[in-house]
Amino acid sequence: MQTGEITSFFSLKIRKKKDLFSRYSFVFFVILSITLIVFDKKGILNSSYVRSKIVNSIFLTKDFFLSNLPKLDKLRLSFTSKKELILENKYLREKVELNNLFKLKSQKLEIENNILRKELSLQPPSIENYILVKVIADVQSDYNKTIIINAGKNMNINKGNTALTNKGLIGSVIETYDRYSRVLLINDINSKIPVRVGSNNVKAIISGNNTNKMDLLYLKENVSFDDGDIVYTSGDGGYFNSGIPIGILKKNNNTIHIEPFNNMSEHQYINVFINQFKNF
Amino acid sequence: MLSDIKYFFKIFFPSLSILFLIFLNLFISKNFFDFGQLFVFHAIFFWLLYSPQLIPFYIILIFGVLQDIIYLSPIGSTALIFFLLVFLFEKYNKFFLEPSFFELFISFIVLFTIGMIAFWGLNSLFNLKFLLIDINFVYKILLNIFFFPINYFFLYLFFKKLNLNKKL
Repeated sequence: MQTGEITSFFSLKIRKKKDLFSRYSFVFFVILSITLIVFDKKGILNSSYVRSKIVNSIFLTKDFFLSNLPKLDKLRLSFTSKKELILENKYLREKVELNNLFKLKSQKLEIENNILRKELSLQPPSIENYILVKVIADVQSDYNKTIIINAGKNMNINKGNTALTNKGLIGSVIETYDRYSRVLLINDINSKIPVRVGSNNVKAIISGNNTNKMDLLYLKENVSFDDGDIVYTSGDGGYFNSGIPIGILKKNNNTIHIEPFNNMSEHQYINVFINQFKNF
Repeated sequence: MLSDIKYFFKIFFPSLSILFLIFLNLFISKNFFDFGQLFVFHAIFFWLLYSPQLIPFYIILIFGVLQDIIYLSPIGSTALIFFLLVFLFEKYNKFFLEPSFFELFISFIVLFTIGMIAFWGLNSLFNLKFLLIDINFVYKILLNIFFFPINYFFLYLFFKKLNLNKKL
């Protein structure tokens, strides 16, 4: 292997003609890559253990660096003017008032819900337990739609837990590490979710295709939908709880697709449902 | 002691620059521009051109695997694409003895586009169906093409500052 002698930025001069590599080592590394792919796909390689260790190391290092950086936001706060503080105070008071109103409404709904549950003789599920987590890395690529959140085995998050926002379902936890977890988004090509569509509760499966328009599969014949039908999880298979909103049905000529309620590339905080009742 | 540190820094600088691009895309630029998994090819291309002895195959394999781990791709897939591009680079290198920057830029565009298509093909193969190609695919290629001269400029700056063209 030889380095060329460079005399200027825009032109290379006298590049010695010699192969960059020995053919044998190149072939060896190509074969090694293919072997790794085959082993990973076949599950021979314990890649989840390796992933766990490496992902933990990467994000712990990032956290370490970030926590040791000078706190610029705090510095900025000290320069906040009185006028800004008054405005902020006013805004926060209004928000508290609004939140109290929502709280009252939700308490009323909870009471009503409990009464209805009793009427239907439904046993309430085990204690619901949500954890609010932060999305620390959006590792979505063209072919894989996953995100990494800042809670893992340390927060009792398990594989299969549901990730959602107040708008609806985002995905499910597919890998848990010591302090982080990976969530597979609903628009990933490997995501298949049993759903019910519209007011007629038509059963189907929605499948991601790595875009923001998901496919509706395994529909019965002669089933019709209306544009704007809401799609909910059906709870079939026991993987997700039933009734979690996912998206809205859109009709375009003769094709239909589902548009998720959540914007899959703009998550900052999400809830993880860690005590979901399976097979309900 | 200091000269040893300097020496090792020089030796590992190409690898560090690749690692920097991985983390730049993962933690910073993704919030504004998503360059995709082949972003590090900017640095690989540069070092293959100027200092190939400092970027051995195992380094390419390690960084490819690291990217696969981060992005949950099948382990080895990104490295395989990089090796394909290295192979094509070597073929191209035989045709040009003294390429100008413009020629290099055109070669990068061709290689990067081939890499993106190969990556799409490989992922389609893994999923046993043709994956959809949307406008993001073209956008990513254009974004990488646009930012390549900027990366090239900075890498060249470090290359000259560290005297990496001299025998280490």
